[in-house]
Amino acid sequence: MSAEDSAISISHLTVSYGTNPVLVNVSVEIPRGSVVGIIGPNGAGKSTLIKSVMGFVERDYGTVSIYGEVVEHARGRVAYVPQRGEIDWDFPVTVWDVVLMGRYNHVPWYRSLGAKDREIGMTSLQDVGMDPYRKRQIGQLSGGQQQRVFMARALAQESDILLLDEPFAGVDAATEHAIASLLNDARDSGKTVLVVHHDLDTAAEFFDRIILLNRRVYAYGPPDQVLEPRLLAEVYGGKVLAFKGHSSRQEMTGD
Amino acid sequence: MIDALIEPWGHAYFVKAAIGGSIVAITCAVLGCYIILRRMAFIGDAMSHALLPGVGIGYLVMNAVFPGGFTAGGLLLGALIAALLTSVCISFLSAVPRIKEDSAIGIVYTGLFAAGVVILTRFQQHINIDLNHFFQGDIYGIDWTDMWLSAFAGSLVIGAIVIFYRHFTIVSFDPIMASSIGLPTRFLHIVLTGMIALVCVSGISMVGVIMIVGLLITPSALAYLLCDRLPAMMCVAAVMGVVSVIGGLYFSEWVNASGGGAIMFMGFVFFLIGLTVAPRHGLLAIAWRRRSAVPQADVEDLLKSAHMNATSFESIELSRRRLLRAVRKLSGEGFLAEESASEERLILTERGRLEASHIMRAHQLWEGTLVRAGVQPDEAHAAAEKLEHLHPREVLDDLDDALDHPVIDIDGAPVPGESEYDEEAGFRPLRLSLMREGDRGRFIACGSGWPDGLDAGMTFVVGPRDVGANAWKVRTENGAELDINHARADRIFAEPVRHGEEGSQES
Repeated sequence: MSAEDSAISISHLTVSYGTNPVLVNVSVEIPRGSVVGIIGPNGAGKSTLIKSVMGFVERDYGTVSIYGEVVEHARGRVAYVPQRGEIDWDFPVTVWDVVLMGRYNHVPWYRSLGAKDREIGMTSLQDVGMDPYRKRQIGQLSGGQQQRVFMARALAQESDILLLDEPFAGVDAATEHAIASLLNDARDSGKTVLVVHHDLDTAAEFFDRIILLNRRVYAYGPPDQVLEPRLLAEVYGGKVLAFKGHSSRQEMTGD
Repeated sequence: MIDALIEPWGHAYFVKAAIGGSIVAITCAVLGCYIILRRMAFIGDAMSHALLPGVGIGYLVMNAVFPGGFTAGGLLLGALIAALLTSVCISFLSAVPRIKEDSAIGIVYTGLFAAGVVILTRFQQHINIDLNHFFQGDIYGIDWTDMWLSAFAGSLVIGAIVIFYRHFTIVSFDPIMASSIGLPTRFLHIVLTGMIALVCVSGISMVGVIMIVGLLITPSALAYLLCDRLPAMMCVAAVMGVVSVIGGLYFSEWVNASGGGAIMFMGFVFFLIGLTVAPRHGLLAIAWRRRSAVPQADVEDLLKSAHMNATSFESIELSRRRLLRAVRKLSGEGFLAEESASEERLILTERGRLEASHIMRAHQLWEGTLVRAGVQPDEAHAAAEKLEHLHPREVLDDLDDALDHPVIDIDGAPVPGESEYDEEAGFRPLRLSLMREGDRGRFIACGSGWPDGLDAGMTFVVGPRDVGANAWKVRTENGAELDINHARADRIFAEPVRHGEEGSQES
């Protein structure tokens, strides 16, 4: 695949915090219209990789480009869904306030949000099925509902690239399926989705391609090539209850 | 009584104090909302004290340049520089691994404050600032310069917050997203810090340094207990600030106390009242919720009793009040039939039966794990009574695997297979090794290629387990019987199917 077809093109990316290398010589091409998972043990640099794609991680070496443009010049082309733990759920904002944040970079500072922004916000909320909860403060939702609200915010940004940090952590089965099908919808409408994920069992089900990361890239490709017991044992350094999965999304979600 | 309320307004000093104090209070309250949401309260406290050397030096310099003239500008500039110096020093010190941020704040602000005290006392004859004034302020001695200065600072701060409301809010709520859309997060933080300094300088001569911190934090903290949206929180905080000022001024008139102290004391009293009675986040509301909450353990114990056919209310060891509450909760959630409460016996629904069997399974697996670890069976039983309330699916599946998927528990009773059902998603797919005799399912995927005779989509029934070989017997829809060993059973994924539903599922 040539770099021109890639939505995200990372080459030789090396990042360190002090003397501690976090990412070493990471090179991956992420094609347009794909759902790609990043898996790896704790401290593997998964979140750092996502943050590099947003362009505010200081790189020691290497480049990250978005649609052929250096990442620093591509701000606003990516939408980000944060990890649950990064959000203060007591913050005095409602579901509606959060979704409208997705429109902030579409409106210059001297103008207020217009009817079009509200319309897009509403559509995004409907897409994730959270429109009945518009007026709720975000702390009064269940974990799965909270995750869907942030999905809606990302959709409202109308970015070509969605970055999600552990969207499946701590959500119930129904939400898991809802999020997975939202990701598929996003892919089908031409968006590129990059997801940090921790659960090996479900990885094959959710992603077209998987990056197996532990500071460096151990494998990158379709799930059945990456979820090799031998590779997983090498990366996780011990016994893994590995399920070498075939892509079985169709059977599992019933569509 | 009415007289005591109206009389003070006849004095110019009181009116001036009320107006000046209200301006400061409103500014503080609006800015304070961001300060408490960003957890900068301690920094605000530090900054207000650390202004002293800046104010002192600013005064000296202005006095030297324009003798006896206009000093307010110098004070302001000096204070802003001191504020900037404070935050630079704090972030510099916090970068040292052995110095935590709160220590850094404590060190920097006391150090700078001490420097200010030294400067003020050394140049006493040149500086017309009194330490006592710095602490307490003099709200009844406001002159027009103070008033204009605070009005100017207030309109600057509130104007900036109104215009850049979206920016400040998103930077406070989700800094990562803020920088991902290209907002200057660091710059916005510096602006907020600068605004704290500005508000402190403009208000200190009226209410003093400690009270200004109080006006920044207390009304906003109270508003936070009452509101769920930021604009509402800012308005309520502003109103509470003004109410504290006016209430405090009356109070100081009646008891003849210092104005600054009385204002902040009133603010504190209002906060305590709000803390007690706030509708959702107040102490009374929390206590009420806690009292009316049904303990999860009660609920699960009831389910278990019902599952073991102890259905009459007399057989359950709970006070009648707790029992009825738990029953109502369970009927509300669809685990018990509606008529359970009126008929005074526990009637499980299908959903309730699944949940009860899940809890029973948790008990058996925890008990088995403890016994295997060498705990005496009766002790293990008592401990499992508590541990059974920890029953996330993943935990139980791990225990089940570690115990080699037991068919019977230590008392010889059968251990049910896993079955988690969700109204929307249906049954969750699971490994074949987690199923037990009599369970039905449909194959979904196999990790290492299908064994002969099996394939995705095929329905099956699990037969009795050959414990010696630890093999799973499976009879498929076309009558074939197969033995599947443990390793392979771990790799086969299936979706449970209820009896009689084998053919009705859409593809």
